Amino acid sequence: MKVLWTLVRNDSKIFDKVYYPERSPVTSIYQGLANALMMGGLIWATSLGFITGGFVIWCVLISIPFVISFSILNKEWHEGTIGWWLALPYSKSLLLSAKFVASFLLVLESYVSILAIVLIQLFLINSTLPPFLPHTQLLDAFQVCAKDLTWLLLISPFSILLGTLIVTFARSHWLPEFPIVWGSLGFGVIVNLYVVKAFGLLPSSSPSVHHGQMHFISVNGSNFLTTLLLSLSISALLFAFSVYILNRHVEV
Amino acid sequence: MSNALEIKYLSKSYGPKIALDDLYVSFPEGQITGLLGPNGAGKSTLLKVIVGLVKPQAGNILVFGQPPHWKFNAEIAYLPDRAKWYKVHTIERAINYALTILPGFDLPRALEMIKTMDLDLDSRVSALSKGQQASLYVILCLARKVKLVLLDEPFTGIDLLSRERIIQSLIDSMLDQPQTIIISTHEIHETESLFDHVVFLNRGQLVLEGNVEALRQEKGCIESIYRGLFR
Repeated sequence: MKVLWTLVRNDSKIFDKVYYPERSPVTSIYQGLANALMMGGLIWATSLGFITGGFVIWCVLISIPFVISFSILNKEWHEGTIGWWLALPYSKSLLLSAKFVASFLLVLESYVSILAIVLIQLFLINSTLPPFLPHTQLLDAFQVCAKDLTWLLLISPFSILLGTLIVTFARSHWLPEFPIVWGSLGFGVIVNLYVVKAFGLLPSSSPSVHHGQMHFISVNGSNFLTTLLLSLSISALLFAFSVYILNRHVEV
Repeated sequence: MSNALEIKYLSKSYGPKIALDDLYVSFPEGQITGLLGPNGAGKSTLLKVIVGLVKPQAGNILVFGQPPHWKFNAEIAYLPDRAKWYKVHTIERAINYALTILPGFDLPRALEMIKTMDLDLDSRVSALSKGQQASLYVILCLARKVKLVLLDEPFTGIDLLSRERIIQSLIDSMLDQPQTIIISTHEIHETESLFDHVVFLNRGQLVLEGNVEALRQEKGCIESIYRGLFR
């Protein structure tokens, strides 16, 4: 247990501040251009009505677990620590379990932060509105956000383990070339969005915050228990497959 | 003398590139063995096979009588080639991490080595020089009470003084706790005094092996044997 917790603590430090200042100027410029291009594309698509604000929020929220788990595992290769990590005297299932727990804790932290930011913004809007205008009921807003958060957490084991599987697959014999890893990130994000949509978690058509009626997501035809069982079953399969690939088909 | 490692007809290739070609060799227990050869000789691949990072296509390997398995890595301290440690760690955190994660990690010994190598516990790994990083990696391996230590190019890219410090800590380590140590290196001139046994590889095959003293008497110093073999 102590070993697992130490691994989890180590894995969850991926977004530590010192990770960023070491980027070269060229990388920063490249990243800035990529971000600008993506933002421009989003604005363009939104202005033409191809995507809505609700869809963008949904994409971001659904992609958080996938991107976090992808980054946490890929970091071992990216930072050059993979030799140490894979030579540890622990089973691959324990090593991947630590990555899973670390990812889940970071996902929880991210979602709770978003919820807190939304509620703080509502509070600030409320406090600046003149008394004759309708005010948002914070308790109602909190309940609605908490419900969405529960659904997102319910689906997150699947997204986290999809991220794990994509990295192990991309680093295996089957796909040995480095650029494919980054290509697989985009592929994984799209697969994740489609599967989550199939689970019944759709973009909300009314993402604006009014009278506590805001939903980040819209749940369509799914019930809590079925989704939980489905998410856990698929997650268990993804985990087993990732362990198998890491054991048999990943060499460094 | 018994053998720590028995390698029989081991083969491994990466696509068309052959890394190990029907390799048959053994490594004596309780000695420091120099694993020598030019780039691409198969030295790193062999060390990776020992810790299970690479699976051979043919042949077998016994580490203290057992085939490689993650469980037996508890008895192996392995320093990977071109190793890097977690940038977010300070040296203190790296040591605490190792204390929990790496079986047999000896904290007092690690702290003593940190003092000897003049490292600051509060320094971040990302802020260390190459030589300091190499010293840290060697500490993470040598401060473990394990049967087998594998060091893959521990001196690459580091200055003379850091190299001398690392060599001294290797000598101290052997005096404190006799272990089987295998060092893959190109720095033969500085390290040959360390070795009890040497294994020369080329293109994945054994070229020459033997006790260092016997080889010296027969053929001269290890560096000149190396030159003779690979020139």
